Amino acid sequence: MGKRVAPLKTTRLSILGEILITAGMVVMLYAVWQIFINDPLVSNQQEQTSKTYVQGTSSSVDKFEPISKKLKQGHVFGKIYIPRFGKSYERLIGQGTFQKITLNKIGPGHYLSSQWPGEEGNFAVAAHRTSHGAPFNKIDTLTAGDLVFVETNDNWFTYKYLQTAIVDPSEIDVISKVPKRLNGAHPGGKYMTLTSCHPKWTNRQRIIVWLELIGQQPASEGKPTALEYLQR
Amino acid sequence: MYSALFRKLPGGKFAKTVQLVLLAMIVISILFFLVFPAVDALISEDPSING
Repeated sequence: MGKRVAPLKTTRLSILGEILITAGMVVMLYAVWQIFINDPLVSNQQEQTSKTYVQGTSSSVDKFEPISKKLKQGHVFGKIYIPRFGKSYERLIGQGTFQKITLNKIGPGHYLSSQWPGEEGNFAVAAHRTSHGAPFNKIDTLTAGDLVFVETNDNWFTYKYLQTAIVDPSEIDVISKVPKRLNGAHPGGKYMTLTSCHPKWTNRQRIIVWLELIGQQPASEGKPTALEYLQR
Repeated sequence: MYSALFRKLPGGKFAKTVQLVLLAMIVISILFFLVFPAVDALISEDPSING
């Protein structure tokens, strides 16, 4: 018969060790939850919510807030369509870039200091690259020829891809009226800047994508022809 | 801690293992559906551009 092994003696140190291992496992589970559960869930939620918003003034459906300097943080004033991210890709744009109010809930957020869509200057939008729906997860795939569309209560705006850059978080001039580091940027230009974190899963740097306004049409004329495939 | 818990659970080795797995699933569910969403909402605010 084999010798029976005596159970290990429980000491304060062994209890502390087990608590630390448990804490480590909880942290790892949090990462798993964030990546595999919360992220797809929020992404789907953001897309579905986005589909319920329409232009116009009917009170029976969710509608965009009119663009105004008084617009409060977290209020939705438009929608962004990026066909490069998928044909069904659309996200609401909220005012402001505070995480709790806009980025973690609505998705893309408009920098308060930047201009509005279609205005002279720079319409700058930030969104998460990973986590909380990761609206700009594929921002690095944008390339020459790509179009980005913005819908507001009154207009549709079409922006064309210009350039991508990786910068330090301190380089805030990338969202200024005449974006720093954008080749050929000039006063009077109508730009759009998309910003997110780089590389994925870190916030060490920022990935910046610049676009330029190439078209604007009133909402009454319907969506741009490049978006005709959308079912609404 | 865990070994003490294992010893206190009723039944044989198989029954104890099943109970432990069930307990782990309950704990993970509480974490996933209650604790983590609450923690996520509390995580500090950074007004700058974030990942």
